[in-house]
Amino acid sequence: MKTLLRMVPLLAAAALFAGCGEEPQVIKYEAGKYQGKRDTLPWDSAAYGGDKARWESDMRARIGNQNELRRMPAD
Amino acid sequence: MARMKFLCDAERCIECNGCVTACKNENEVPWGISRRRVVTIADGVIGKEKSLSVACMHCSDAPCMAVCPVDCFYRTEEGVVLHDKDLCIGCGYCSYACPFGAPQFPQEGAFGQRGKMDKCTFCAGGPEEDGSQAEFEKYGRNRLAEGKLPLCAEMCSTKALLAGDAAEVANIFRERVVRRSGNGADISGWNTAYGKGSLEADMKKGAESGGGAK
Amino acid sequence: MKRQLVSCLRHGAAALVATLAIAALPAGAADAPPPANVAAEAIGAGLVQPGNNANAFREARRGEDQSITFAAPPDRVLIQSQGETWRQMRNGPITQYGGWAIVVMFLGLVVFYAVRGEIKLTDKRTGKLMERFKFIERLAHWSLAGTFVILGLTGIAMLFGKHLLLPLIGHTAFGYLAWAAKNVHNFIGPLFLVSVLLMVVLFVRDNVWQAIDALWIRKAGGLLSGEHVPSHRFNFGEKTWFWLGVVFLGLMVGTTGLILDFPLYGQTRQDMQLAHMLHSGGAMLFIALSLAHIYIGTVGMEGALEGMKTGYVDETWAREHHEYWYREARGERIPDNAPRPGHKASAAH
Ligand code: SF4
Ligand code: SF4
Repeated sequence: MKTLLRMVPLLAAAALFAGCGEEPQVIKYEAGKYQGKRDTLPWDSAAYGGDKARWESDMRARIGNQNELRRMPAD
Repeated sequence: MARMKFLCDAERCIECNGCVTACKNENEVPWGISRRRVVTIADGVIGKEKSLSVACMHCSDAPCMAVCPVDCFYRTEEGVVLHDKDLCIGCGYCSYACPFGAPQFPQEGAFGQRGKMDKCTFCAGGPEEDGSQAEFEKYGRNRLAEGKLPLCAEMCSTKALLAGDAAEVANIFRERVVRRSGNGADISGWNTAYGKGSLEADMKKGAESGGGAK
Repeated sequence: MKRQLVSCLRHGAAALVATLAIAALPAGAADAPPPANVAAEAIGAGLVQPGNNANAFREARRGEDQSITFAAPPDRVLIQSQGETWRQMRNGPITQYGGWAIVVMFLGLVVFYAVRGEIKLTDKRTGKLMERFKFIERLAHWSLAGTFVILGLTGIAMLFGKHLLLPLIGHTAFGYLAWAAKNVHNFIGPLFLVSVLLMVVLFVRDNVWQAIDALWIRKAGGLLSGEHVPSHRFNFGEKTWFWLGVVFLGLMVGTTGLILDFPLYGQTRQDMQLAHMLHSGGAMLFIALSLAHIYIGTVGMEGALEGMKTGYVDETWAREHHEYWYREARGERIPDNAPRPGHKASAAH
């Protein structure tokens, strides 16, 4: 019992030590890597049903629509 | 898709605040919060006045993520920074750290108690089922899951505000700038807005993953 | 700090070069498309360029002369670079040095206890008691102590919980815990400040410098030698804790806490960042020092806790630890430091 009680501060100290390490607190962004909590991916929605390629091509078209120069009649 | 980004062209923004209004309406943002804001520099000074529309920039090395005591932020494959309102404790730290003033809080209770943090989601909802009522109420519309882009950019009348894959947006902008007879390495301002080296890195990744120029 | 300075210098230099470049251009050049060679030069310097957003963002970053039509956010600048400094401070020195300060103090006390053991009374107890703390004094002390422990634990949960608890209990459970911690922290905080103020009012009189304190400093309180150094009601160690801990740190942490707790009085983000750095940095030091105080008040010294618990100490304890106070209470005159008028009352039965 006595040794066990002696262990308590040691364990507490060990637990406290853990907080003092110099670890990066944010994961560096890497393109195309999901870094997070459980959340459905955009192409897993009702509209796309997991078809990532179709989602991407739709997005690309949509982005292109923002370019009024491309939408202008060529002259 | 490599990396979702916003781009605001200071040469085009006319400070109409349409993006602010569109966002509030589309996402039914809580009272007192504007997820997007338009800031004008040197208002009224001829030749120097510039406006920029800014919301969460979905940082690569996100300060909000680094300081959140409950670690409620996460990043999607497209580089969109989202957060979990169920975990958020309303401490306000993300708003101290964020360079762009993106995180905002509904006031809750008598002494300025903060409610759950609210910020731009790149119209990508949050950690609830895509398109569900719960997701809409907490985070707003999930337009990405519907194959659409953030409304603020899509409805921008002067196309100052662009949104989408970094490589695609950069292409649009490059085309535009060529017409404006400009040139230069970081004409988009991304290295200032997203951090050093972000332009080059994302462009490269974008080109590799086939999201770039055709 | 260094980062900030460097970036200030950088911005300053950029602005200077920009002004010079603009001044060098012929009037009206900004409106008309500049001749190719001028444009190329300007690009080389990363400066004046028609349609270059980088310039606008650089301007924005300086944070000057900006306005916003919709007044929802509390500050009107586009980019607040100070946030990064705050992040570096909080996640860097405050978390790391603060954490280490607490750990090192804790381990130091464990070692001290192992070496020195409990400071026991040398003589037998007389059984006669002296009043050391009045009821109101004990009330102030224990309400300060109670709120301090609650605030310390909830504060630690919010600063270190991400590293200590979150990996153990997971996001959901920790989310609830942190939510509770934050609310408890926010509501108990003002009570803490009230207790601090009460403490200051009650104890300031006996904590002023007295000649005998020099002896205590010279002998390091007899902590290591085991010698009993005479003192008045409070010795220099206790006075240090009073001035540095209760008065300085207590008031600093308490008032910055109020600033953070009630954000509706026009504080800017920068005010909040500064308040938070002082608050959490001060709190780390406060917690580390408090461990020593708690140690000496409980397991470190026989009879110390009794005094604060019941308000009474044994005469032997009084004589050994606060000899002058003991003698004054018995009506003796202390030659080098005559009791101030009305002072005896606090020690009378
Ligand atoms: S802009 Fe602000 S809220 Fe958005 S990712 Fe960056 S730090 Fe976080
Ligand atoms: S307010 Fe919420 S999201 Fe922001 S740092 Fe605090 S817990 Fe995290």
